[in-house]
Amino acid sequence: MEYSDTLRRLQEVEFGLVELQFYLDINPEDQRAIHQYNYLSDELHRLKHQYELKHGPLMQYGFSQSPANQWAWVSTPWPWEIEY
Amino acid sequence: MWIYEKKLEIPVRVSKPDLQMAKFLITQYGGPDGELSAALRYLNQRYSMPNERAKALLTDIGTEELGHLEVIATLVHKLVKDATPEQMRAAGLGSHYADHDKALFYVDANGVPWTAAYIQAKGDPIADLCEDIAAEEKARATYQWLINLTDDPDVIQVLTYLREREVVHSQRFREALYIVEEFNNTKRIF
Repeated sequence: MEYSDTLRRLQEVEFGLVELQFYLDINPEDQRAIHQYNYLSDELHRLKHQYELKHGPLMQYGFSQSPANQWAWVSTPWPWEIEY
Repeated sequence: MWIYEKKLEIPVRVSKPDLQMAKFLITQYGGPDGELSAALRYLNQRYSMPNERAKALLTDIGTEELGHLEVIATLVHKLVKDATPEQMRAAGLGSHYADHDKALFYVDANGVPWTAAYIQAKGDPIADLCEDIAAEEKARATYQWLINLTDDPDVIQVLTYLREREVVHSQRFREALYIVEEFNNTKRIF
């Protein structure tokens, strides 16, 4: 499978959130960082939805919806099978 | 509870198969300063960590390390997937092939299996955070030695990213250590 632009964008936004998560653990009183975190979190949800419509569910256990007509979890490629 | 996300933290590419490099890289999968050691060390220290911020940090860094475990696994898998048994033998992976074929296994660069003796949990926040900072610095150094062992620009890109993540983790753990020490040094009057 080809590496998609949406996946690249997802990885960028999620990386920003990982960094902010660590920063906020140490600086939980930083209102500006909390605002950035929530802003990127909204963007992440938007991108995830966009990605999943085209490439299938990203997460297990109901954290992603399945397409109604097929259980795509077993047929979409695993991260180590993608040609980046 | 952990929820799996079917994606890597970063894209992982290799320019060519390289069995020798796979043999070295596996140490960041199952070696003393590898990602398995890191994830298990931090996630396990949480239960006796008294400081709220440090508890959150151990959870969040431990979780990112699980993601890095998958990045290293993908690198190793991509480097060995097209190899023949003869090529594996020539690259010093004959004994790995005998025991595991091309399956990944939690071993260091010499094939020694992972052991819990690689990690520590003292139950003392200063001791445990110092252990975590040292672990991050050892992982950073290991990534540098691995970068020195390859000329594949795609592999170097991934290893450079992982090296920088260890620097960030070390910085956050240093800040947590500072917070814990500051609390210990304040005079408490009852």
